[in-house]
Amino acid sequence: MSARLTARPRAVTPAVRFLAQQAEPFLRAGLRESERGADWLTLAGDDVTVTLRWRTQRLLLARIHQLQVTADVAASGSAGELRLRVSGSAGARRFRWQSRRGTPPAGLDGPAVAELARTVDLTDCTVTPRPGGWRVCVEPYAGSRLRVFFPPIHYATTVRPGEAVTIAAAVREISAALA
Amino acid sequence: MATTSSPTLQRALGFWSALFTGIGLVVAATTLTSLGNAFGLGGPAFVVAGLAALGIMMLIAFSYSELANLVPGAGMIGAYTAPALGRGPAIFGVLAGYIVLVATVEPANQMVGGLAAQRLLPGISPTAFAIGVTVLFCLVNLIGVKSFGRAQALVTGTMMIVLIGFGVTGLLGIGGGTEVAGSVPFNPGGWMEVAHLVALGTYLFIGIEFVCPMSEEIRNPGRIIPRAMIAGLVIVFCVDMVFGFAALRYVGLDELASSAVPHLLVAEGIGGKTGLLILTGATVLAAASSVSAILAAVPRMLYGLARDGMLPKVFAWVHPRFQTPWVSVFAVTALIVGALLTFADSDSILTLILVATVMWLASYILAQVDVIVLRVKYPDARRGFRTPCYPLPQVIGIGACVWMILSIHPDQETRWTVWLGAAGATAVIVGYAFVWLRVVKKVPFFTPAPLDAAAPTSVEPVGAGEDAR
Repeated sequence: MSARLTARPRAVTPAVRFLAQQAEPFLRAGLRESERGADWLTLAGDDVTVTLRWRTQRLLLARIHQLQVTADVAASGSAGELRLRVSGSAGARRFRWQSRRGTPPAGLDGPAVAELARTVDLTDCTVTPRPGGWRVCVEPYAGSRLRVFFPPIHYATTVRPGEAVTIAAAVREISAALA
Repeated sequence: MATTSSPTLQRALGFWSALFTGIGLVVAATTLTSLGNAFGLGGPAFVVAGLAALGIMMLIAFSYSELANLVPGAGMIGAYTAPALGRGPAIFGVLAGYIVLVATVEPANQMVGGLAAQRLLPGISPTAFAIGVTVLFCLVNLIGVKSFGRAQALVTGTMMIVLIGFGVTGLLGIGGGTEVAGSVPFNPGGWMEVAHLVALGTYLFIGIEFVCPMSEEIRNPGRIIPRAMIAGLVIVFCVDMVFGFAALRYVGLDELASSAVPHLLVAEGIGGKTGLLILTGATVLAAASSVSAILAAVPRMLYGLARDGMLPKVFAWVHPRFQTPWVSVFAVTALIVGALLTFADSDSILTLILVATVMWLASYILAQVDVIVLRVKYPDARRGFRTPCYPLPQVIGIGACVWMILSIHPDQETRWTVWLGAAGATAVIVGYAFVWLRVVKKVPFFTPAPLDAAAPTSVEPVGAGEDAR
């Protein structure tokens, strides 16, 4: 019961309010909020800037709002979408980049990405081409907001601060490799 | 104080008490949140999802009405299942469907009421308040079914009047609040969204069957129970829609959809701080009315099972002066208070609520199967009410419940946890039922009991009927 009680229109939309909740571990990891829009929140660190957004999955009896930690990288050249594939159990996870077209750029399998694959449960991790560059997108399993319709349940989970550090480092490493 | 020479339940409730028993559980504190969220997600088009949900719940009410007419016993799902599928499944129906629910969903509901009370009186502990309300309504239920009926009518009636008041005030724009700028489109999320919201809409009506266990205390239950259930569903639908449409004028869709207390946002939007205080009070009443209905209905189910030899006889003890099943009332109260003191405010409550919902759905499936089996086994038995379009509603109901159990949570890992939890609870209940029936009572597990034995008039001297059915 933490909602603010006022019926007037407000600047902070619920989407951003819930994103601010998700930003907490990133703020504790040393990033600071630099900008916010109606449905996104940008956090900046010394050498990395990430934007938090929601990806909404509509199911018949539920809705999953999945946190996306994204960074846009300006670069020339083009390739297909890259997706990080993680296999193996928690103790011995392996990873590889899968590309639909061509070979993945070099330098994407550095130590931070390895740490990301090894320690953070991921719903998805992609590098997508966009005009003038790439968009890096990490979806941590723990960063989500769930609404179940029957029975009506609405709750959110966030990543741990240590996981936030790992995600930010991996985004930084991937961005540097792509630039 | 055994039942063989014992006092009986008192047949003293009329239509209004039956109606408020059903509504009291349906409009619980948590459903007010669901109502606001639903209108936020679907906009005005939620009325279509609400109508579809009302239709589904009508079909379920028809099934329960037929069963309550055919077997008007307090054991409710236990009394219906014993002649259809046997005593073992009957025990499962009551303990799985309702005792698990009492231990999980109701404490959570009471915590919402406690938190609302804390808003009114900041110094109060939500847990202490929830326990206080539970104990208060335990006492009301102990001192007689008439006092329960009066208290239920007062609490539930006041709550409904408050909701209607806010709805009408909001729709007429006479509360003095500021309306949100711009008009709300009729169907902002699209028809697929409306279809998704039918499940949420169904939750707004669930629990109407709680009037059935009162059948031995309702005058002319064959007429009153179906009418009370159907009227209750229609009244709840109308009140919800009036309140929901008023909500859309004062709170933005996003806020309504995502808030944990959308109804309070609406109240403040319509009536300012005074409105907020009044609806917070109504939220407390909603929690109170649901615990009151639970403490009336569930002990009667235990009483009915115990009287028919499916639980220890102690649960069938009736107080000689107050004519209430006092041991069962105390047992259910203890269950709620125990849960409030232990896990009601913990993280595990969400998983437990999901487990309880699976078990409740299983009990709904059992009721639908009972209708079909009893129609086949006793085609000529006198039924004061016959469900229309038989067996279509039952088949649809079973399919819908199975589907909801299979999709109980979007996350596969959580889904497995819930299914395993439900399987564990089932194993415990079935284990008890097997030991009790086969070892202690030495009666068959699956062999159906005769239909006459399930009716209250033919078993131990329980209320030889103050009125003719």
